[in-house]
Amino acid sequence: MEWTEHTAPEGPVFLTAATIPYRHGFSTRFGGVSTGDLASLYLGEHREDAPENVRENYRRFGAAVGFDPARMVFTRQVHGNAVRTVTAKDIHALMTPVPYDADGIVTAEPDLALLCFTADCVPVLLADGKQGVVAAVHCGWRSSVGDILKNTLDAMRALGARPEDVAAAIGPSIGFCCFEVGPEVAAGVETYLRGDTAGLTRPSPNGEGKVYLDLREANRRRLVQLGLDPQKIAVSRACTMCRPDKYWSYRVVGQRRGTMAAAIVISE
Amino acid sequence: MKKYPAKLITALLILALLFSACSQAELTGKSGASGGSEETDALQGTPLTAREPADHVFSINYDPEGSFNPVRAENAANMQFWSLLYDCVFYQDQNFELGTEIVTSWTSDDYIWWVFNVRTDLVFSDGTPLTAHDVAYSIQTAKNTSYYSGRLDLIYGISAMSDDVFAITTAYADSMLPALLTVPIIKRGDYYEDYPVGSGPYVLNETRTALEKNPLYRHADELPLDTIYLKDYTDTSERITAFEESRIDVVTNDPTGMYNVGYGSSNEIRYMDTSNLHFLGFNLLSKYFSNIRTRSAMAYAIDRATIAAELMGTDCGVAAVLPVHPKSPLYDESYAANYAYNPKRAESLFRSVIDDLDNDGALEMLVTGIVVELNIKFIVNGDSSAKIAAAQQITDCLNEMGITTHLYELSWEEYIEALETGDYDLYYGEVRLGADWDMSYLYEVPGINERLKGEWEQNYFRTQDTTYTELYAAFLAAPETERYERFQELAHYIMDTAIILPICFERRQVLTHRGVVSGLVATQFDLFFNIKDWNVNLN
Ligand SMILES: [Zn+2]
Repeated sequence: MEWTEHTAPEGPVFLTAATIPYRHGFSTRFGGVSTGDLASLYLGEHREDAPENVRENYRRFGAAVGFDPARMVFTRQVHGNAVRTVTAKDIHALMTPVPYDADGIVTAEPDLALLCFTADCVPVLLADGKQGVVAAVHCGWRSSVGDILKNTLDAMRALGARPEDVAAAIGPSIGFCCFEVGPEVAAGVETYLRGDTAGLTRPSPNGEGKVYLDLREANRRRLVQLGLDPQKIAVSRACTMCRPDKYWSYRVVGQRRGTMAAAIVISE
Repeated sequence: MKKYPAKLITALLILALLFSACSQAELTGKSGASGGSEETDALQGTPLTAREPADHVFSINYDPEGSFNPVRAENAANMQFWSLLYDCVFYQDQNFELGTEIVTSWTSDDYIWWVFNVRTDLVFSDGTPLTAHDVAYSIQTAKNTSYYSGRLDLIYGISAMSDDVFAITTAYADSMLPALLTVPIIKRGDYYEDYPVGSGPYVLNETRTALEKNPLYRHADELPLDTIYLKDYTDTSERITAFEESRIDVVTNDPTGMYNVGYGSSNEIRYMDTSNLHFLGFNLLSKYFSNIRTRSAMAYAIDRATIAAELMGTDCGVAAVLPVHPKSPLYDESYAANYAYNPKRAESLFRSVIDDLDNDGALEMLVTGIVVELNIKFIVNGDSSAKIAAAQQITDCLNEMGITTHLYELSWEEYIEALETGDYDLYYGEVRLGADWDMSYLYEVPGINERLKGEWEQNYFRTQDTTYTELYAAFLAAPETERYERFQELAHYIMDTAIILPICFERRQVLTHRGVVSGLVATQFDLFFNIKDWNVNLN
């Protein structure tokens, strides 16, 4: 099985991919303490829920995946293509202002948890188990066509990683079943993949040049183009928009929503 | 001639057989729909009270005209006490855990070829030794009966290799095969006898009016009673009166079934868990439920706790989110909790695909771009008041959210017809699961993913998703160390796709008079399970 879904003793239901050699996990909505619209594993920090609930949710998710919530690094995600290499100096305490914008982060430091947040967008975790380099990337369509994955691999190579040793996990996100986009997005993907777009889109019945896009597959293809071994790329089949009860979906629940976290840490 | 699904029919027949002793007759217990009342009372509301035992002997009901053959299993009344006369190859205890007093060890490398070693110190009541030949014969003949074929149909071949070894080959790998071998042992050659020779704790006396202790039984010294008297009360009202007057001392009751009979209060009521699962099934070609979001919304629209505690007869259901009994170690309570009753979440999930699209005040949904008025057809077999009550509650919950749903109470024939023709959106189903919890046959499609030819004629879900059967096959074939993991994969997949939504497992009542029996722990197949641990006080 490429993907395994776990129910942690602490409560969180989360997914792991067999390809990734380090501790990591993709959260779901299940297993936290938040209630109402934010039920239950709400991992946001500047929305409606009480700080103690958010802290408890992070504690649970950290315990489930196996990282220390006091040693997390994350950024303000802006749908750009900037990638930042981080160290322990970048550890970010919950409920404090996020210091910088970036949609990808990379580290070679052990026991430092990298997190990215998604609700429909594609979360990608990368790991070179030989050189000890990992990355967490938030791939919305803008970041994707901005080639953030290439920028991420460049940053990983700068730390010694080699593409052929890099494993990837492309997590739960909006699926080919549900991701309707305009013609400008399809054109962007065409450029992004240098034309290797067979089967990535199908026409939408809603007209106006709209199509359904398989963004996960687009990103998988890009990773192969960048030199990853296709055997080492796990792609989740879970669609956030199909199951807004289990995953946070921006397109279904709109602004009053939480986010899923994808976390990875270089571990023994 | 319509072809009915063999397994479902068998399951229903078993239920009918087991409880036809308390036949529907002129009495019906207070329907489960009343809910909430702590005791059911029979006989037009006249409360029954326990009286002093009428006699100082222990008696049970039987049918003197019927067969006592536990392998042929043709007489429901006499099947209730088969374990007093016969041993069982394997048993499952009240917690669905496997046990045996017959088999000393067993091995299998691939879970297809199995070798079992049998004790060599056991004898039948006629003094002849019980051997592996008798065990193999009993399983082989049982496999050909409608009563046992459901659990034994995976067996390809069985043969005794010596007096103490027999071997089985199966059509597919199932590491839980021993748990399916809950088969009584009769002496080789006795299949056509109406009272085959057995090796159980008791024997039938010459006049067939009582069970006498079998002096050759290995636990003869520990048995609580020397004699158990057999009384012939075939008529339901007679039976109730006989129990009320202590002329019989133990009866069972299925408050959820077709033959729901109310017995008096002031008795001791114990429950036996069964593997009978109630569930919601979908027509996956239905315009409403081809959408995964509406199906998953339904998971939160089932108030399982209330259905289990009130609607199935008092406490005669055990709420279950996952397709395995909550008593089983496979059941992950913490994962199941994520799917607890939550009408608000159900409503918001429905609302994400359903809205008042044409401003007519009613809700519609878009199906492939076309506005469709909501009118869900929900079917239930109307023979069971408990099922109707449960289905009605789910229907009410949907209608309160504005999801227009009509419940159709159908006769068994109409119900099967609707399932076969696809004339439904949602159905209330019931299935008796085997000891390996296998329900993959519900998803089988002939020629695509069927494991046993001719087993299942119709797939009511109308799906061709073979992942289910693959995940079930992986679970069944998993060694014990991996079974839990494989089951979680399966359960999560079922909940992710929301193809089937478990509701609850049934429990049955075992009624005795207060203070008469202690130590009674019935199992779904054996009312007298472990009778040597009973204490009986007839004074
Ligand atoms: Zn989808």
